[in-house]
Amino acid sequence: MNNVSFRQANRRYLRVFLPVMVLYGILCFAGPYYLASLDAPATWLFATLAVINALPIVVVFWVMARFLRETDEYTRRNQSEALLTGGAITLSITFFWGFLEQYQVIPKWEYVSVMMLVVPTFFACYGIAAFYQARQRGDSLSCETD
Amino acid sequence: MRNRLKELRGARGWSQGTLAEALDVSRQSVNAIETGRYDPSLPLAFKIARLFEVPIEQIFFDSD
Repeated sequence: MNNVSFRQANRRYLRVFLPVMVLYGILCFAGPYYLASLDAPATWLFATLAVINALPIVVVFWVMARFLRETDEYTRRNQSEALLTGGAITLSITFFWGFLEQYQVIPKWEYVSVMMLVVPTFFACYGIAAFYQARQRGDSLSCETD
Repeated sequence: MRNRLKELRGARGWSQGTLAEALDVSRQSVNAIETGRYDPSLPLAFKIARLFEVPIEQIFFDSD
């Protein structure tokens, strides 16, 4: 399936994932701080910073897809299952949330866009699914059993 | 599907980590195959057979 070894795949994943997440964290604070320091920032500047702030997550999705292609088949199967579960739970939550808003059961958020929470919710659901499914399978992450 | 992977590995005195490294898979993969929780793909099964220098049917058996 690929010319990269299992260990190389792990390294290649972390080599992109970690710096990109640090960059994302910095941008989350730097963007609003920079805009607040200006007198009357132009609309295009808001738009540019918003797009730049979201771009690292696109890179994370790309590196996750590359990792799935490059890792060993057992890890690929397990991670695919966890991603699918995380995605299904996130989409279900957003769908329920959307209908609850539509039927005016819950108010629309005023200061923060609910859309901002979709990606963090997905990663949380994916992480919980991966942990839970690993436990169900009996996979251990640290102990060597011979 | 049942297999003799643990027995073959033990005969060579290898740990799961050593075998995983030789097969270029995670240690969890080796553990899952040995305990019958995961059936490897044909390419991986052939790789295991080549590594232990035995025919594939002497490592993997039908459960029936």
